[in-house]
Amino acid sequence: MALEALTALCRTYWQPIYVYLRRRGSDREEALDLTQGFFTKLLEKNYLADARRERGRFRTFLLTALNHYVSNEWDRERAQKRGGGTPPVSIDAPQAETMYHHEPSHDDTPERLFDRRWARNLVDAGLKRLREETARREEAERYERLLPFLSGEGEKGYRDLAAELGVGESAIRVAVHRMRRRFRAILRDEVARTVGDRSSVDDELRHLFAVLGT
Amino acid sequence: MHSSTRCPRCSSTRSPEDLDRGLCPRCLLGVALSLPLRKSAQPRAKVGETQEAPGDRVGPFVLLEFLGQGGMGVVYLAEQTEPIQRRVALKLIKLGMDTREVIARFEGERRALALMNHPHIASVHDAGITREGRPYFVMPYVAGVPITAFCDSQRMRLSGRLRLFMQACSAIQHAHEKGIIHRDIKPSNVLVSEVDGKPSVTVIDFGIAKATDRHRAEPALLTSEGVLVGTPEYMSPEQIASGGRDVDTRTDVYALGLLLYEILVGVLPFDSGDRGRADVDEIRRRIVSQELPRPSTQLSLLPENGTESARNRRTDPASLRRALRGDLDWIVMKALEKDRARRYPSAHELATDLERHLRHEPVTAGPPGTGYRLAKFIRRHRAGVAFAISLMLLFVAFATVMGLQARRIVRERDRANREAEAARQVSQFLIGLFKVSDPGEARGNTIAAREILDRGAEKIDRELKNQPEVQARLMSTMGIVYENLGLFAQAEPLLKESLRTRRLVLGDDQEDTVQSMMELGELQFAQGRLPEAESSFREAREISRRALGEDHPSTLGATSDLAVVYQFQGRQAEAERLYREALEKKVRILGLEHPDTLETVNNIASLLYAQGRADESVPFARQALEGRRRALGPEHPDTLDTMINLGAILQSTGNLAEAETFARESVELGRRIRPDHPSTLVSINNLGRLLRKQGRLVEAEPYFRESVEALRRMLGDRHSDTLTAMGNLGNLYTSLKRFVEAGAILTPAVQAARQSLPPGHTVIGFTLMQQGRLFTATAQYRDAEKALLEAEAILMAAVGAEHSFTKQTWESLAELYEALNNPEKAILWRSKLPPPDKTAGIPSPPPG
Repeated sequence: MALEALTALCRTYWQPIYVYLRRRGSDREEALDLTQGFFTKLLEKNYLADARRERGRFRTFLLTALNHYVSNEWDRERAQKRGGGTPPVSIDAPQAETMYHHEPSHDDTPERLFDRRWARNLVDAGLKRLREETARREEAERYERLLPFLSGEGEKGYRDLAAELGVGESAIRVAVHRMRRRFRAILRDEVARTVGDRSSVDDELRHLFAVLGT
Repeated sequence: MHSSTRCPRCSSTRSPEDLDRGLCPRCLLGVALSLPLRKSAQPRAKVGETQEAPGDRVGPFVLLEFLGQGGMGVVYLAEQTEPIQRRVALKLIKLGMDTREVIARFEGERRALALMNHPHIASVHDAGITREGRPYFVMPYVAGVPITAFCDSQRMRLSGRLRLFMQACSAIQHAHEKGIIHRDIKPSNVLVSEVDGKPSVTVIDFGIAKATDRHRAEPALLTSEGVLVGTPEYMSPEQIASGGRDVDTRTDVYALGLLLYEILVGVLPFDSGDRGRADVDEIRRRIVSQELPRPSTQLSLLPENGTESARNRRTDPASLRRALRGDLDWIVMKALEKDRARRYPSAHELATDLERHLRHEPVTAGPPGTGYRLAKFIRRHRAGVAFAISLMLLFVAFATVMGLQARRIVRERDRANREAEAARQVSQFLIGLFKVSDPGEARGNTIAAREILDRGAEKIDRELKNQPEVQARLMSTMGIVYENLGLFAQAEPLLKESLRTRRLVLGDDQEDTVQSMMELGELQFAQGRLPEAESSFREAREISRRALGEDHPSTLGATSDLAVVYQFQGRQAEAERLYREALEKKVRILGLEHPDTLETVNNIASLLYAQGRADESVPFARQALEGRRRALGPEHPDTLDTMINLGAILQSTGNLAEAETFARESVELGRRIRPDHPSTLVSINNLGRLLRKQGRLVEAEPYFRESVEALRRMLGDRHSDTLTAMGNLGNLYTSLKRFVEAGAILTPAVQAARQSLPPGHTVIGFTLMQQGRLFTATAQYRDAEKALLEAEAILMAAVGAEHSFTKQTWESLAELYEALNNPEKAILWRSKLPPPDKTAGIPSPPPG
């Protein structure tokens, strides 16, 4: 995994780390501190080589590495404050905290919370890419109108939207279909970046699907 | 905290941020899961033709969405508005494929579906022809998800999963009764949707299904790229071996077995850590020749021991493993037998066994016999038959890893030696023939045997086209060399081609043709493809008997080889009959002292011993030893092997004094003529065990130590066999109350095992068990309990209740609780052990 790609992944997936640490009992300060420190370590040390060696999922790798890091860090009793250098991933602290409190279920284990947040971030990353793509094609407005149908809900609304936009209902149907297809491709691609190989994509998707179901 | 709501569609909990957006993340993930892959893109239309697209009309239907495609058809989600409004799946023959043959097959599928009427099969509503003349048919649209995904998303427990799976069995059974084989059973073809609030299975896609009553040989179904139809992971061994031609209802039973495996464990048996690189050929190789791990074993090999799989089944890994062990392991493995004659004869039988399991009744599936299992991991080279068997004998005798490990060393060492030797022979052979040693391309001695072979194979093909007999002989030779180098994939086409040529040019009834058949059989045997090896040897034997005569050496050779296959298949009685038949003739024709005769005598001794008939085995072993001493000399390796065997056999008859004499003699001789040879190691180990069995621990100690040292030298410090031997030595020290030395060897052994072996490995369990015993002996009871319980969990999962390691662990646990004055727990563990008299007569490892 190239450093650049890894950095990008970390930007997408710092939130699961944060909620995990919070659920494990760290306060806000400490969670921020550890998240930041962990990424710094991850990106500069040879954890990277481990990530490459490890064929498994990036998600599980990250959690293992994090636990490792945290226990080492606590062994050192967090004696010295980290300083200097620009942190590789910038964290929006208030956002992190809001997001943590948005987690609906509060009797979850830290691991489950991590996975759940991971799934949400994956979907968010997918939606963001979808929006960017359509924005480039200057279809942004239509995208916003079609978005509510993305998950397959509300087909009854096709007729209204068709009337409003002055097109046939089947045109809406086809457009939604295309958008869903594209979204699926994007999501699968996002997942493929975090699993060792393409053949595990379905497994990972199924896992995340199941995680959100509880 | 914040209030949360549920998604009206999938009823998952939604957080405020989702509400802001109005989208449910879980439903969005579902989009990526439920839609078909683009990889198999829609068929491209030919020039001048139009491709249908969503929005188009086909008969009274409007196409909505492309759902997927099979070999000949494209499936759309479609909507009917008149006379009733409903959603359907519409299957349309592919553009450009509407040839008469394909249309006939497409029609065949429609008719097959129309024949069936079953609640769990999508039947045909309607059929018709488009304006362009393309046939289509219409099935109910099942908005289902693959059975595996459904079970996981609902976090279904095992019993619920089994009930769903049994619905699929009943659907397949129904198809079979209508004479239809599905041939492509896999999760994405077994969908689950909710009907009246209850999950219900629908089996779809009979697209490559085949009518069973069609007798004419049908060409394998190939796609345009020449790829066999079907999904590689879900193909049965016979589907692969026959190129898809030779399938029957048991092929579906196999695929159901795989489906059940995945439903129970969460992964397929081929999914190991290296899954990423397992390409199609690798998967095929594993399907055909590799022994698959049992579900409970596979579970323990998953990351975190299968925590994720367990969670999806609302349990923990240890409980899930326990639930799989026994019945479910056996049922799955019976459905997955490579030899279909050993599988369930029908889907119904499979479901019935599951029903028995759910009702806690005894199931018909059972653990495979020892002989059968051994056969699967023993690979043999012709010259090594006797040796392989003598090692198996030791393995059985001592039920520890010593025999196994020796075999592995043999394989590696022999392979190295053979490689050098083969390089020499083949290069000379080919230099003479083709003058390969062109100074321009020769690289002196560094040229690898493999390279010469590859070039030779090419040349044979090219330059000897007009001399088929010579060509066939050379191909045979090279095939055997490849085989000896372990390059089975290269060997097979050469041997097959040689056989084909000889049949064509010489005819069936020639010695060379029979020889080719046997060579092919040996290759199949070496790969563990026992049913194929059996039929090769059987055919060679029949032809040889008829054409060359009952007493011809080829007939005798084929008879002996067939007997060996039977022995490895666990068909002991048939093996014995053939061995005795071969022996009688060999004695008459070759004489009692001939090496071939003596080999058979030795094999009979092994066979009898492996059956627990040690007393009967003794005279054969004695005769083999005396004969080999005279015929081959007292210091010949074969003679030495027989001596080691005789020592082991005598030990189990209770004749310890004489056993010791032979054991000491073989150790002495072995140290002199082949130090560091695996057999020597085995004999050293045997002697140590023999002494320990008699309680002569002080005398046994140097032999145990020597084993450890030799293994360290040969395999390194961290090899599982070295670690096992360390466990044995440590245990001996514990028994001798030399606790400091015991700790000094057991602590690093456990540590090294944990570091260098995969989690759940047998040897981790074994070393932990020995460490636990040391802790008990030194009154560190908490540590002892921890180590022994972990050992027990590992060993139960890895080798099961029948293995001596597991039994020793139970015994150790009982001893621990006795030391702790906890008789209830002690009795609990002790009750798992078989009563002492039951094992009498069967050789078992000596206690601690």
